[in-house]
Amino acid sequence: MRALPGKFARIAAFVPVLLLSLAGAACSADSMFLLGDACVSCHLTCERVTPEISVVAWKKSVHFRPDVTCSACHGGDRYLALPFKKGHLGLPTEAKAEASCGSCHEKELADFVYIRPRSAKNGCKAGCVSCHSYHNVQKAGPELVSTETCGACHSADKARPAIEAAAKLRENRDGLLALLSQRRQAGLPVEYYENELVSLDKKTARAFHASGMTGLATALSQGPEKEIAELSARLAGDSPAGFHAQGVFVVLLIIFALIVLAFTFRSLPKQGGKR
Amino acid sequence: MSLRDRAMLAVRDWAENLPKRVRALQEELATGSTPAPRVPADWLAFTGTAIIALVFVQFATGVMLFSYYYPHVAKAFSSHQAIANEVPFGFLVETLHAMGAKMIVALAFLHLFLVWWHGSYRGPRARIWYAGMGLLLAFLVTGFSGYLLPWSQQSFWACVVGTEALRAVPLIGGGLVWLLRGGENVGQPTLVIFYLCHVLFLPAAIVTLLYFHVKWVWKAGVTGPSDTTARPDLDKCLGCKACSLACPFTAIQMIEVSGRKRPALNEDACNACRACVILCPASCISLRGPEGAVRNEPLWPHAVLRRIMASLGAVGLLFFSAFFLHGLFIAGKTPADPLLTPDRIKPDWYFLAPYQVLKVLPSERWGLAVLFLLTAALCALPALDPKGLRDPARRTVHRFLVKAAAAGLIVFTIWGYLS
Repeated sequence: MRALPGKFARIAAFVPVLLLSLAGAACSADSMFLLGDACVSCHLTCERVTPEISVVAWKKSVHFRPDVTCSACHGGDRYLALPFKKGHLGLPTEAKAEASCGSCHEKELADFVYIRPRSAKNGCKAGCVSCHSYHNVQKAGPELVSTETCGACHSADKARPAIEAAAKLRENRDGLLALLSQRRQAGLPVEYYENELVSLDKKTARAFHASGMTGLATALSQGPEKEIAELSARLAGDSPAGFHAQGVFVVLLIIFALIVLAFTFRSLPKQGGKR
Repeated sequence: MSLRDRAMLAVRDWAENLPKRVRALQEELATGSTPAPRVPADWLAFTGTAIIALVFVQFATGVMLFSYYYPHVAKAFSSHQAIANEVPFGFLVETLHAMGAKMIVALAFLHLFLVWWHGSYRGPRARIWYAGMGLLLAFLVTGFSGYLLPWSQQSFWACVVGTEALRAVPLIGGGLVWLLRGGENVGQPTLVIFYLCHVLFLPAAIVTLLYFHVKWVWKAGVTGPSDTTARPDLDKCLGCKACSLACPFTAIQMIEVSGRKRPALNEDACNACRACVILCPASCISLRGPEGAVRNEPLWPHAVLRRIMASLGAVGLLFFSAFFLHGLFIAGKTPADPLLTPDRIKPDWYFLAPYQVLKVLPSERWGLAVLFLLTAALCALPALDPKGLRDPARRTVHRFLVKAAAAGLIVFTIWGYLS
């Protein structure tokens, strides 16, 4: 009879892991890496009252990957639950949070730190999490510029030009992605355009980090916006329809040559050879 | 006389005789004739010419790719991608080259089965068959070596599996694999070896074999339809015995008719090889079938025009597939990773049948032995079946063998693809 509680305890300990693995499998096959994570097994929900449940939010973020788990920002060890003095930071301070972001995103942090004195003059206290959020970390891009994100600090009038420029950029980028998708579906090479898009996204991110709210609209329209237009024009000129039109032209040309040869052949006398 | 002087003399002789040779060729073109196709299926006889046209396309596209390709494990895939993405018409040229290789092998197999079906490999045509089999093997090996060059996951692992299979060869297997790979594993030396074979040695072998294949076909003439035999017109016959001496099947015996020597033909032994037709000084021998004399047509312009049309048709089909079907056949869009074995490793279509044979037989050694024996038997066909009846309609075993081989190739290829 005494053995039963122990068994139940083991089974009960296994339940969160099982639930987590099922949830993980439902979300993505990649989430199997969570199985051995000591932080996740206990802190499935955050103990503090937060607007978002930590692990659930993290699973929706761009940081949901095996190399960016809790310990990347909160310190400590991923596999061993250790006390604070063993490196666990708990809730990081703003400075430490920025430092942990900058450990991977060096250039972005450098750009951001470069404009900070200017912003600070206006009383701005924005940090990485102000725009990118924490746990549910959002990728830098035009979709991040919205009334909700910018409006948290800036007035609607001040934020409007940047929000409009970002919306236009997003629209054009979506158009570019649609063209790229057509090309991919047609089996044509897309690697060049994909690489260009990656470099374009980096430039867009740089424009976001290195410009204040007032200069963002200009930075976007003069930089990424222009390049997207050029790339879209090139992609449109290099479209599957164009490629297939070339194919139709070549094949028709060959068929025409064959018809001419067939008529030439028909006009030949059907004479026998010498033997 | 030094070697240099001899070489100079040979070149001078060749140059001096060139106009004479060209004149002889012109004369032969102007006066020569060949059996005209009777039914649409006879157009398949032009697959040989279509292959030559496609080989020219391969050389042209190959030279363009050669200019941009970088045979280094760190740069091969990126240079292959750069060709497709950044070089003007690079994707088209690359696709034409890849699809052309697949098409050449398909046409070469079709050509082989046609020649086999019609029994056109006997007597004076035996050496054409041998050169043709050499060409087919050279095409296959060239395709295999070219498959590695993009250095994609698919090509890398196909090379690993393909070369590894040779390890089962008794005694020399390990050495053979080492020689092909330039070491124990597939790596930089393998890429260089395959690259050199693909751009230098194998094209040289193909050109040489193609030259002799065409030269001997030109000399022997195109064989007549399989239900025909040579028939002498005794009224015109001079009794010179040239036909009897020329016949490689001893189908013509000279017999005494009214005090004069006249040719008597054993129709079952005649293979319609046209050796007697070509040699007869009185032009009294012609090919005849159940429907009467075989209709001939002049080499120029009739046969030449037909061949141009067949070649153009093949090139048209190649362009069509390059423009509209490229997504179906071109695989391998991720760079090679020696540490990550993909789920499905498949060779190019023409190795799917051998690949499946190796998979279904109990061991690789058995598989290799079967494949070797089948290839050797096919290569030695003129020696194994040197004479006798030619018409497939009257040869049950022959018909069964050809159909079984063709069906086996198709079934194992599809099986290999689906497995």
